[in-house]
Amino acid sequence: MAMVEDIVLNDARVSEATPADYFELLKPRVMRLVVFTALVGMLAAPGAINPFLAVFSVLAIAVGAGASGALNMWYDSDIDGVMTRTVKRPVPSGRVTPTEALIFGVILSVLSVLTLGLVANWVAGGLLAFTIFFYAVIYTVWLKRSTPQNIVIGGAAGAFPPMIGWACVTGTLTIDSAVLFAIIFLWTPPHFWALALWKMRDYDNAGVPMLPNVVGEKKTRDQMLIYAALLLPVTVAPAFLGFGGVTYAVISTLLAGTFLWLTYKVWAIAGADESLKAEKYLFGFSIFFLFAVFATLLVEAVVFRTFGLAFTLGDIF
Amino acid sequence: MAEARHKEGEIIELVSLTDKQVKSRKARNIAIALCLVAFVGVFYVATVVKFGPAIMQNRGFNQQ
Repeated sequence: MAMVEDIVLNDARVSEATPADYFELLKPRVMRLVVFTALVGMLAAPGAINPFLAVFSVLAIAVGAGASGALNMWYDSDIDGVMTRTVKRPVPSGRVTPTEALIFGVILSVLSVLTLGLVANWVAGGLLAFTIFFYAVIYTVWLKRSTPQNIVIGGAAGAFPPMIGWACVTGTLTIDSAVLFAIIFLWTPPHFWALALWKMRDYDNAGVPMLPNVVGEKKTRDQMLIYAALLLPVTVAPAFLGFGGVTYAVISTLLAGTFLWLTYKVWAIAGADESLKAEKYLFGFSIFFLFAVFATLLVEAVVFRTFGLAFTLGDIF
Repeated sequence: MAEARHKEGEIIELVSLTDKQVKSRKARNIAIALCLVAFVGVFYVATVVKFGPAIMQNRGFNQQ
């Protein structure tokens, strides 16, 4: 009896976690980007979706992305506690236990996939399930700590949302939606490595093999330049495939050109400037770049739908 | 830790929650309730939208 009491008393831990702590597990900043890109995929896709179902689908995609964030925080709590950028997250700071984060992530994963499957279609639902699996298992558990190309593979998980949004409308995977995927996929490495170049010590302390720590800064800059060069034609591709208009063609060329120019500067300066101004500027611009590219597609799609293919009452009811 | 006496005379220790723990538990409960209501609402509206007018074609209503 005494043994039972000891176990109960020693294990008695009453949580002080607030709903805000759980919300933080969903990585709200990443979720914002996911919502935005999924919405663009949905609106750029040919065809119509009921506005209610569109809102619910975006919500399900957002929760699914958040769930994979919670699973990531469960598995990564040890290294999150070492890096200054992540030390205040709910798990390493002790507000939420790893087990609570795991259960929270699993429940939300299941609910979000089922909801998207039932509300939109099972191609979209299946793609969301694959995305969660890819981010939580392939990236977080397997590759993040074992290869310096972790960010390239992890970037694929972040690139799926516009494809899922597209699939919600069409129920298919097409070359058009794959181009939206490719834009984010090719954008991720230079975006993250620009950050990694000035946060190298952090990743080193945590034992995460980021490219600059493993192959050196020079080779990292070489690879950033290659990705930025590949990003240029892919970013402009929607204009040629027909789901981006003339406005998109002009703006995307300017944006991808600037991105390539800034990456070239990072490559050419090669760390000679110790304050790493070029790297920091590229990181800031890369966030603006992705937002602006997708915002342009969004505006074009809305204008097209409003004046060319407007929603009718029949779509709603 | 508060103490309570079991009816057979055995002392058992109880956990008394701090104000912070009570407050956060209440907030979590409210959040779960709101999420469940939203979840039900989503499925209610989605069902109506997906069925459309056919939702009224229930045999119970239309049997002549």
